[in-house]
Amino acid sequence: MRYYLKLAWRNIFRNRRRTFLTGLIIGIGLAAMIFVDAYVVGMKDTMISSATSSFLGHAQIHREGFQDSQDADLTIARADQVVERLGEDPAVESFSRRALSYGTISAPADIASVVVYGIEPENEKALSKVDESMVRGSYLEADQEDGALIGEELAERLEAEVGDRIVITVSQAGSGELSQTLFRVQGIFRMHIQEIDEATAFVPLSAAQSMLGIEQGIHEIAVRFDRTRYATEQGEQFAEEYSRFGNVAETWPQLVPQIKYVLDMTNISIAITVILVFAMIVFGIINTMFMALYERTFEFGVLRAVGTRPSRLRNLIVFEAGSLALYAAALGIILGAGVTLISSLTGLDLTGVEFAGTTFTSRIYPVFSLRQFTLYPVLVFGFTCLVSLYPAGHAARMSVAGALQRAL
Amino acid sequence: MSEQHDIVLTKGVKKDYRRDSVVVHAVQGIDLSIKKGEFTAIVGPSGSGKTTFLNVISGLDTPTDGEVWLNGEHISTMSGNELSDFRRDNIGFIFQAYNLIPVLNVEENVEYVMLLQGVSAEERHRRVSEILEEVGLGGFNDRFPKAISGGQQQRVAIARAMVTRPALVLADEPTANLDSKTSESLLDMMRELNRNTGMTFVFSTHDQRVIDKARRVVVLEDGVNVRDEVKE
Repeated sequence: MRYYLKLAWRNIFRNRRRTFLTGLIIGIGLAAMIFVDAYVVGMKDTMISSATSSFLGHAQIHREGFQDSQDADLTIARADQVVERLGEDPAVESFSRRALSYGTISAPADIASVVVYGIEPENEKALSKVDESMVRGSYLEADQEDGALIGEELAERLEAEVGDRIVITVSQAGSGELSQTLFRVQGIFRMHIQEIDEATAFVPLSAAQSMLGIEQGIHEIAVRFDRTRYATEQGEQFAEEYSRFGNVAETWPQLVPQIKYVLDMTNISIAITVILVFAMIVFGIINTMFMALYERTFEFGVLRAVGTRPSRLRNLIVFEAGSLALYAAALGIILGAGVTLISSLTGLDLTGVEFAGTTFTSRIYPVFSLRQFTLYPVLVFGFTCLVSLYPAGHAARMSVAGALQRAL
Repeated sequence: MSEQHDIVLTKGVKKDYRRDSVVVHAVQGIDLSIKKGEFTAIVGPSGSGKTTFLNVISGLDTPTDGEVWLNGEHISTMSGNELSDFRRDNIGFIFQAYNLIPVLNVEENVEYVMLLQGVSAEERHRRVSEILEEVGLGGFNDRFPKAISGGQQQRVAIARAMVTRPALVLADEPTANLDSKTSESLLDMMRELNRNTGMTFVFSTHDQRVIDKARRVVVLEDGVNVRDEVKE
């Protein structure tokens, strides 16, 4: 076995140029897989981060039925207990309570439908990016009961500026009567998320509670975990723990399923890329092995004549293919790591681009992972060895007399 | 049984090829017996069937008809691994050229068959050094084929063919690619080895120098044995 490994390794460097070119083709394929994978992982992370860190959070808790009906009466049951539990949960980095309702916002110039969020200004800072998105005016402060934040596009439509008066009208809990409250535009934001920039208003939580007539009630608790992956890895555990008292806890894959679908689709597209690359490798290897086989027909004839069993000749060719794959994998790893590393210096700027209902809020940077440098090279190696069984079998079945005659 | 006293014994051996739907009768019923220690040349013009006959008696090819015994074994019925192992243990091959594996050095080329036989590394090294001395290539162990001349390559091939002391050494036109001086010296050496070791040598050739050195000449024409001459 060791002898044939040595022989195989020496054989692949008999024609250095061809080995290098074949190795390069396979290596480029592997490098492409590493590069694409790193960017897809980066894109996934950015997508999840864009979707969750802007306003959504990694998880949310609502009263059962609230998400479908948006009924102001459906406030979170035993909210104090839930909040206390969240405060003690080591997996929870931060959380913020919210009240929300559909309503209208009117200014002298126009009137628009909006979603009104009552937020806790300080807690919200740690959870969402509303405070970082201010383009004019200032962020809410806890003691400013009549302050409101509106999106830049909404402000344009209403022709409202910082300091202007606006009236928010909502339907009160219980009676359903309309309630109108006067606010002043405290600040104008741009979050690069169309539905928020066009049709959302943020007011202090206490003002929203009063406006909706829900006393200390809240409709939503947005949660941020200490690790983004906690939602996908232990999301079920979280959901189970907080889905009690008639409340429902959901993590982002349930809250924004379209992202989950896109990520699943991305996995399929990676699989297709991998299959295409492997197809390229298959033809590269088969072509090279058959070229080598025809060139060395006489030599194989000699090996068989002096007593080499067909199975050993087959092994030799598989070992040669395996050696070639190792060489190619080394080239591919160096190329893939190099190209990905260089491109990671600048990243890919898709800021503001909306994809599958999510707007990218930061550059996409490739993310290295262990599988790129283990799974893919191992697949290349294994697949190459597997594919080489075809030319190896051909060589093993070759007529010895025919092989000796052909080259002469 | 007479077969057991012969190194090679063929009875009515025929070999047909199909080439572009035309059947070529390469060997048309050859009966031949080669005794131990003979130094025999099978001669004839191109297309006379000598290489085909050599292939058949060495188990590299199967006869269309007839039977072949080699060293007392009926090889016409062997196949696959059995035949590979039989060749490994009983026959040494010397081809016209490109005998050696280019990526193996002289020692590795010579020891290859012993490696297949499972001979220990120490024993392999001892026997390789010995045979290389015998063929005049002592100290060439680490050289690669491309670093030695054509004549030296043929000597290495002879060393590889003989190192396991096989019952039969088959040489298919071994001097075809060599100049006359090298050919002479190589033939003298093989004859010397034949005398010293008692190993049986069979050549296929149309080289007059080989024919002159042979002690027995079998002439083939159109796949038939037309003359069998033993020199005094």
